[in-house]
Formats: sequence, C-alpha cells, structure tokens
Amino acid sequence: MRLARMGAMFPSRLSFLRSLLRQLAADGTQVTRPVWNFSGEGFGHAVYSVTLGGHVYSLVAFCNPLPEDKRTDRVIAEAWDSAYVLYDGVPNAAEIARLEANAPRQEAGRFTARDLVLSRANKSVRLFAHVVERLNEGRQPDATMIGEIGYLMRTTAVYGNGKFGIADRDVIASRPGLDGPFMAEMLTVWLIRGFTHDLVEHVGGAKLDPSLKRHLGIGNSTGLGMAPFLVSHPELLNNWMMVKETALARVRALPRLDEDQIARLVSLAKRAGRHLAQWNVPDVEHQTRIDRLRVEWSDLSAQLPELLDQAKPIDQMIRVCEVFSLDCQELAVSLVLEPFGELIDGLACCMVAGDPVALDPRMELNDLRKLLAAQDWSGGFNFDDHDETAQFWYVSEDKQEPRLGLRHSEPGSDLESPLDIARQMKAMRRDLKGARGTVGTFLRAFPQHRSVARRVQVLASHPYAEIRDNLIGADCKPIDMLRCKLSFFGAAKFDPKSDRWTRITLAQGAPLFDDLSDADDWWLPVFEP
Amino acid sequence: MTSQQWVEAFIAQGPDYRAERRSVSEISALVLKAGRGCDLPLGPAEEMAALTPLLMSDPQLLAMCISSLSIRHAPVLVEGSDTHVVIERMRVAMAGPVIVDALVCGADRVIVHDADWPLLLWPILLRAERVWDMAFQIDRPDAKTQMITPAKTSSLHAIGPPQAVPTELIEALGEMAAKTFVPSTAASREAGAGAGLTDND
Repeated sequence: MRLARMGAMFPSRLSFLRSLLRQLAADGTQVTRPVWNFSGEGFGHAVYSVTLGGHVYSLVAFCNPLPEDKRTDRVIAEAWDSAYVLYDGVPNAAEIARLEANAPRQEAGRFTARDLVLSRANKSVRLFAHVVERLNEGRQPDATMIGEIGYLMRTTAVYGNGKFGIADRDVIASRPGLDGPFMAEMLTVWLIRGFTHDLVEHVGGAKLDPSLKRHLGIGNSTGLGMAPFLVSHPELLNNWMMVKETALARVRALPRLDEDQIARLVSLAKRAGRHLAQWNVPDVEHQTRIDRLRVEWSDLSAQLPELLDQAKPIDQMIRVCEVFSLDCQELAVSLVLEPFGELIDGLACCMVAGDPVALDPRMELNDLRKLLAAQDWSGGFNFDDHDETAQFWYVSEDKQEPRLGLRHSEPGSDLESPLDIARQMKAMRRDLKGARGTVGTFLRAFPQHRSVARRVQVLASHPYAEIRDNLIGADCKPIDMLRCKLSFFGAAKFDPKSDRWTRITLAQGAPLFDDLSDADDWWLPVFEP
Repeated sequence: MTSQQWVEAFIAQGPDYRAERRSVSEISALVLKAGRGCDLPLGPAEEMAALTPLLMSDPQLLAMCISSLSIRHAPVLVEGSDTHVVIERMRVAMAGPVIVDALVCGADRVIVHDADWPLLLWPILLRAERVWDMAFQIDRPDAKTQMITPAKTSSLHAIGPPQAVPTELIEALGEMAAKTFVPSTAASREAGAGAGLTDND
C-alpha cells in the first residue's frame, strides 16, 4: 500500500455513501421537511428528517448573508453561506434556537450529544446565481454549466465524533444504518445536497428538471486535516483496505461470467469512459494523468469482451491491467466490483474498527524483530539524507489544524507530530539490536518505542494498517492520502489544487430524496441531459 | 505552586466546579496532546489518553492525570524480578504502562513506593482488567506503598460514566496541549486548503 497507489483510487460500490444509500433504500426511508422558514433571498433555516434503523435523524440547515470577501474555502474562515447540524431526533423550537446560535459559528460554537455532525458550506456563486436567474426567467439552467461545475454548494468541513462537544461516535456506533464508518457524515452530506436543490428552487421560484438536479452533487474542499487520520487509525485503515482486497479476491476467483455479467461490465466500462471524458481539471499534471487514463481505458475497454469470455476472467483482466498506469489499474478494480453486489456488499459491515488493539508486552523480542523485518519497506530509507526528512507534520496554532512544513527551511520541527512511522520503525530496529527478553521489558528501557512497537504488532493481524512510504520524505504528497480516504467516502471528480488540497464532488448522480428506490446504479455517473 | 499544590487547591474548590459538557473524544485528544506537550513519550501518552472515559467520571482523577502529565518524565526504574516487581518513586504517567505490562507478563505482585498519584492506579487497572480479561487487587501495606496482585475476581470499584469537565481542567489541558502547536507562517498559510484560489466556481 504505497502512496502512489492510494493516490489513484476511485470510488466503488463499497464506498460509504453508496453503502448508506443502499441502507436508506432498504429501509424504505422517506425524507420529510417539517420546517422550512426562508426569506425570498434564501436566508433562514430548515429541518429535514429521516428514519433509519428505527432512529429519526434531522438535518438542521441555516443560511445567512455572507459578504463576498468572507467567502473562502480556508479552514481558518469564520463565516460561511450555510451551516448544518445532523441532530439526533427531531429538534423542537428551543433546540433549533440553540443550534441557530451555535451552528453558524462552527468551531467557535458549543454543541451537545444530541448533535451528531457539524458542517458548513459555501455557494458555488457562479452556478447558484445562474440557476436562480434562469429559474426566475422560467427557464432551466445551462446544462453545460451544470456539467462543468456539478454542485451548488461546497462543504469545507464535516465534523463528527465528538468535535466541539458533538456526540462521540459511541453514541451511534451500534445503531443500524449508522454503524458503519462515516455513515452519519455521509447522511449529512446527502441531506445537504438535497437541501441545496430545495434552496435554489425556492429562491429561483421554479422547479429544476430532475435530470439536471440529479447531476448536482455536493462539492467539498479537503486539505491536510484529513491526512493524519489514516495514520492515527491503523486498524480502521486496514479494515477498509482488507474489505476492498477481499472483495477483489472474491470476484477474481469467479470461474466464468455469464453473458449478462459480461454485458454489464462492458456497459459499465463504457460509462466510465464517458465519465472520464467529462472529468477535466485546471491542474496540468493531473489533467495529463486523466488524458493518459482515457487512452488506456479505451484500450482496455476494447479488449473487455474477449478478456471476460475465458476462465477466471476478472483475474485475467486485472493481470492485463498491470501494464497500465496505477490510475487505470485502480479504476479497473472499482469496475469489476460494481456488478457483484450479492457477492461483496455484505463485507461492508467489516469496515468498522473497535478499540485499538492493545500492545502485547508478552511478545518475545525475536518475534517483534521478525514482524519488523517483514516491514522491509521501512528499513530502506536513509534518514541521514535531508531528502528523506525534508518535511514534517505539525499542528498549527491557527484552528489547530494539521500542516506540513519544510524541515530544513521552516521553524517548528521540534514540535513535529508523530507521523514519521518509517523513521520510528527504523529507530526501534536500531535499539532492538542485542536486546533480549519480552517487549514489556524492552519498553521499560525504551519507552519512546511503545507506540511504534504496538503498531508493528498490529501489522501481524492487520496487514494494511500502515502506509508503506516515508511520510516525511520530500516525495510524500498528502494529496495521495486525501484521495484514498475520499474515494472510500465515494468522492469522484478529484480536482487537485496543489499537492496538499483538493476539491471533489460527492453524491453526483445519486438518488434524490424522492427516488431512493433507484438507489444503486450511479457509479461514475455521466451527465447526459 | 507545585503541581501537587495545584491539584490540592483544585480539589479544595470542589465539588461544585464550573464545568462544561465535553465529548470523550475531545478530552481524549487533549490528554494525548497535553502529554506530548509535556514531553511524555507518545506510547505512554496514548495509554493515558485511553483512560479518558474513566478519568472524566471524576474531576479529581482528571486533575491528578494533568499533574502526572506535567512533570519531567524519565524511564521507570524497576527492581526485583519478573514475578516480584518493585518501583520506587513511581510517577504514574510513565509507570502505569510498566505496571500493567508486568502484570500481563505474569508478575505475582507489583509494589510501588512514593507514587505521585496512587489513586490513578484505579482507572489504570480497571482498564487493564477490561482489555486483558484479568482481575486485580490493590493493597496498601503502608501509607506510601501500594501492592498490586492478580486476583480471581476484581475488587476494584466500578467507575461511573463521564461527567461535565471543570473548565479549569479544560484550560490546563489546553495550555499543555498548546505546547505542541506551531505558530503559523505565511508559507504554511499558502499551502493550506483553499489557499491561492480566488474563484468560487
């Protein structure tokens, strides 16, 4: 599991948003809107409620006027066009008033255990204004513009798990429907997307064409804040990867495909090709990758009918893909998972993780050495080389967000965050030389290795728990970690703005509030109004 | 004021502290950062943060935890044998994991002298009982000594659910955690999400 491969991942049917929508559909969920209190200009608040797994959840949405110069994607922003809370139950007037006083303040507000998720979003000003204008004129918006932008609002943070006083994950961890990873966050995002549709129709005074509406997802800007999560949750990262690899192994093991299955894969590959044709980004380097992927995907797609009509067809196809770029390989993985829901959807319940695995002090040091030796990826870095320590992770004083600095030219490396896992492994390997006894006795003398010793032990049962790269090296690109995590959320149309942050689109092509029965065929959607 | 005096002064203000409800996740993250801000090695800081749900049940325990994090940390000096472990001048932030390790590895008894906060052995051992499916007993042969032994059934009192956290403790943890924060520079701001972009689609 190298950074470059993580940075090439695509959403799949195992992505969390897909899983959530299947759950909502299976539950026969209806979205209601018990409160809609908005001015003609689109300022006010609304409440949307859904029942999932026997519990009622409500999105409470607030929109306020925002001066143009305050609208920014930066995490250090202090005001937004809209603010949201996913509330446990249906809020009464007093609770709405409490949230109205706090939600627009986001990190500066205080929240309670009834509040499950906190989020905010800014308008895509150009598209929002255009859609309003067209609807006011009694016309539908320009389809090309909708295709190019793809969302009316863009979230800049979606906070869960206890941040700023909201509920700990434990509160919902055993509730059907929200028991999977990031399910509450995904529910919030999907409800926000539907709210943006209602809002623009309210201000525009007319209904959007459903086909246009369905292509309007919800944008998101994601930066470094998301990257350390993958390092600080090794068991969870393992479980996501393990499920995906297990799913892939299951479909690769299929002895043959019938005609319908082949036709479905060929059809999905064509759709993916059209999706790629509609994916354009300003970043030259990334656009070059997309261009190459289009060529390779076309090549692969042409071979598919023949490749799939043989023994162990998907295994053969995946082997053929090894000559292509990582982007193509990863897209192929997502493709082959798509038609086999009955075979793999049940794995989604294995993507959660409980409490971290405890360090086992009884382990003999020889066994720890063997585990460490198996991590040969970590031993090859020369940390005396400036390039291998070129960067350092830290938490900034501003909003206490993770950042990445240049060690040899910026201050602060003495306060480095411990994401240097490969370097920690190497340091422990050095101190293990000549040591005898158990891990427990070793750690009495070397308590600084306790955390990494646990991580190495975890790898024995969680082989995908570590990113097998040097996360402080000059070559480390956080965007790769972001794309991996976002692909598990279900994000597509990655639009990198640097190697440290990206815009993406979620829920594009996803079912609307009133068509959940058509819940599961929107992998890599194509806009064809 | 020493950290011991700070805890004593804090306890003297109780039990009606000015307090705020905080999530376990929030306080746990603060405890971890506070430990690291006070140069506690990462592993022991993680172990202390894992105690947070228990520490939040009683402001006194959390105050003692803060004190234990704030001192100068050094490796634990262990005497005796693998089965009979003795720790002099026990400083709980570093020694807590060592004590649990010894018991899990089969020690018949762990004797600690002159502990900074002996009461913190309670949440440490309660958590160890849950994680390792073991049971322990704490005896006090004298005022400065605790003896921990494996038992057939636990004699440790259960600890209640997390409570609202006194603001004084939140502030203390925040100050310690802030020692890990790096002041922003123009370069760091230019690299963050949203930086360098003026279009709003």
